[in-house]
Amino acid sequence: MSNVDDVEGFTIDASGATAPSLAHDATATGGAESVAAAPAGPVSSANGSASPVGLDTMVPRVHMRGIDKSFGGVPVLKQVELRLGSGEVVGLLGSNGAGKSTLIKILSGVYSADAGTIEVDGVEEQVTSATRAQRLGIRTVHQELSLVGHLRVYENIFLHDEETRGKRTILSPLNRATMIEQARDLLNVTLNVAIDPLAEVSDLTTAEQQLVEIAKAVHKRARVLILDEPTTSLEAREKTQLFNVVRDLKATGAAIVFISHHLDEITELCDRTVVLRDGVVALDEPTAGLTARDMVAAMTGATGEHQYPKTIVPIGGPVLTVNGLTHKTAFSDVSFTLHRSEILGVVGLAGCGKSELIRSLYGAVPVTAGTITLRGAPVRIGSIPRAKKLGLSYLPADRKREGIFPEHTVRWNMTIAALKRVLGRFGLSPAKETATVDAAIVDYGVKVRSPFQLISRLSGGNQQKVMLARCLMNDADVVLLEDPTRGIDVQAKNDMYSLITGLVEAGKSVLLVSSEETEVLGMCDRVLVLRDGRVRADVTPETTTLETLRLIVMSSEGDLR
Amino acid sequence: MTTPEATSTTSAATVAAAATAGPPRGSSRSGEETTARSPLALVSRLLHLPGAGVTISYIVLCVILASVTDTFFTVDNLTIVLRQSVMVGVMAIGMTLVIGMGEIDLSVGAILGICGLAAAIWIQGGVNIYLAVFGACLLGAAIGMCNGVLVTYLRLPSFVATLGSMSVLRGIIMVITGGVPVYGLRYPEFQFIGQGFIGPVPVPVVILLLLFVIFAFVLYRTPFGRYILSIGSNAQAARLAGIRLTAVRIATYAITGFLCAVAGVILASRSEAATADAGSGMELDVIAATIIGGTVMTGGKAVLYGTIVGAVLMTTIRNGLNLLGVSPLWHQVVIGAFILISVAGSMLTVKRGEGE
Repeated sequence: MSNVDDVEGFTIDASGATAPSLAHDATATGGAESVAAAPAGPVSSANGSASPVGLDTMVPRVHMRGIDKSFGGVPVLKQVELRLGSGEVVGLLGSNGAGKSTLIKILSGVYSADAGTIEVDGVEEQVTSATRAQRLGIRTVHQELSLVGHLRVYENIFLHDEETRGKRTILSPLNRATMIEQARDLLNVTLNVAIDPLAEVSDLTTAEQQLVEIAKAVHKRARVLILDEPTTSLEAREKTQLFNVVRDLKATGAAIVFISHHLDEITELCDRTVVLRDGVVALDEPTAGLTARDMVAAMTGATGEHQYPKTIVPIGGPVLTVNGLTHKTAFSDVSFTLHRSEILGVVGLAGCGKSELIRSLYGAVPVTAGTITLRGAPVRIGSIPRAKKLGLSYLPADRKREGIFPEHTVRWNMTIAALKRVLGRFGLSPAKETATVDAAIVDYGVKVRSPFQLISRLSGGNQQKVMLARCLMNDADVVLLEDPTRGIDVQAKNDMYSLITGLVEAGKSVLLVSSEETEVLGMCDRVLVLRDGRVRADVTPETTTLETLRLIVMSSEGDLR
Repeated sequence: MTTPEATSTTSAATVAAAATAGPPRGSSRSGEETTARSPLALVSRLLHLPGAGVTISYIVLCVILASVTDTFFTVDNLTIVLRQSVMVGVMAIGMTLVIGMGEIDLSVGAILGICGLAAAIWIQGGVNIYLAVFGACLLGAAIGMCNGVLVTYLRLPSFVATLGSMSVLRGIIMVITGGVPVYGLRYPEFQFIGQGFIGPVPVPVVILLLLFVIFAFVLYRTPFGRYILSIGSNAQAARLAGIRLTAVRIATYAITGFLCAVAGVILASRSEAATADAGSGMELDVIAATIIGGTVMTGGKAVLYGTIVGAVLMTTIRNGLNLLGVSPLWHQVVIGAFILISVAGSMLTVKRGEGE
């Protein structure tokens, strides 16, 4: 128990170099008696009532004050204050663009603030670089993990910090036994997870890799741990395990920032909830007194409504009917009908199954059950070429990874999915291709110097217009769009919305999968909400507020409306 | 904004010209930037065309060799050089497709060997010569297909798959021949393939040119060609665009196998024999010709014209060293160094070239 007492009792002058940390003691770097004490420490205090007493009166682990940050004259953070007490889990919420990631990047030294101070254990610090932040014990576990796949777990934990026999030089023999022993202690005792330190990281599940990443942070004496959407790709059981680890860590006095869009998780895990909206703190209160509705209200506020270029088009008969569609893991029992000239929205958080759903309709992902009826006839889609033949087309969300052919021209990128259209008597006809592409450049408002410009030279918005042009080159009448406005500027977004409106005016049917609630409310005739792989609601934008929609998207509380 | 596109490439332009100018860019761009008329701008534009680097290297080399030797710049010698580059050239056409697709084929030399051997054995066994040649070409295509199946259905990395098939094929050749060459293929119809002339032009050179024209068309003027390069550029995007990756990959390997078989038949015909080590080590020359020609190892772009010049260039270096009386022991060293220098040079200019 002695180390726990240390944590509670430390004062400002004990900070800096000698601040006791979980890693220091529990991993036995301190000597024989710590080894004995370590197992008892965190576990017992997690159960006991010792730790969080009187936290408010203590100097917080981290205190960010008056943080301002702007990019290119646009303010992203305005006078933001963030307190992280030791032994406290703080949930950080906010919709995309609210400033969450900027704030976190300032704390972890990636960006520097334009104004404001950061105090760590009561001492003002200049967190000017990521290295500096790490030296202060501030560690971030990102969604994209930074482990080396073909190394073993313990090797990852000790990367750049290897235990050697004798003096530490680059050529000193490694002390494998000690490292394995410490890693085992850290994983199996301190974090209480059953991961073999000798396992190869690439053999572990995502969840386990995340835990190794946390173990690594703990080993490097993290006193502030930032978990950036750690649950996105985890299953329920894995989430429970992660939460247990977080609770154990919290008991050791670490301050933890937990970023998530899942309000149920915030409620379950976090002591305090901070909501950012448009760069200001909209809410900062103990989670205990908050409902999911409060959080959504804070996130949403009375934001000025964005004007969407939506026109009223009379909706026709059913085109695509999906019944009980089920995927192996991502979604189950999804049913809906898409009509002619209708924009049907599907909204949900990352990992809710919406991406797999839209891809399954395009034949890119197999389904295990359910029926699809297209223009009155039951169809089996099965493959992408088959989907194209059936008059479906798909715009992938990740333009860079799945859309563009970077070393080729705008022209090449536009026609690649519909080369039949530009065939002449003697192979591909440059004349036909030029005519087709020139027309599409005008139709889709692509800003290019010439169709022979490399696509990688265009702005994201223009690239996306080329992608949409490619998507419609086949004259598909069911258009599946996944996050069509991701990562493009406001002007290009509006252009995209107008183009989408144009599609339904031309009698096409659009399935718009999106992670932005405002977008589907502004553009769609009907909106399906997907959460944890199931359709939770089928709403019309006229009768639904942004707040209600978000509540359904983000929390099971939404089901009780 | 869009200038009237110089559709010079349409019907009038020959396929070969289109290939020379490189995929869709060159020719039409010249219409776009006519404002820059100064000779300097013209030169700069020419220098940026795909395959320009290898062409310049070749011309420089020719000028040097022509000035230091009396024998280089003669019709006889140039014919010899061309004829010697045919085998590497024909195989490198296939390699250009494979590398353009982002893969590699290390088994080309071995396919050449086994197909030449098959033709030789069948002819000696009394099979009709044309049938034997046709059969050898089919065999090549079939072996190529096997390579394709290994990299698609069995998901082996192409380097490993084709390294394995190279070893297997070489082994089979040794088992069949026991190391003893199949001699005495002195049949006029067969000899004609490797030794004959059509007018002043050697038949193998005619074959190479014919294949070049056909495959330049395939690569730059058919959907299939675009699919190959799309897969090399971004396989995932190609899949979502509805391209059948497996089919295109297998077909490309099959084409490469077929081309190796053609090279194998030409070699057997020229030497009137099929030896156990025919084509041994040639995969390196083939890859080198492709890379020197300006095709990038990572795929997505392919310069077929450059590949052919690259093949001729490599033979010219060997030829020049011979004429200069350099010991053959040194040839490998010079060729290797040349490959390193030219690839390094192209890597350094790649960034600038992309921009244009």
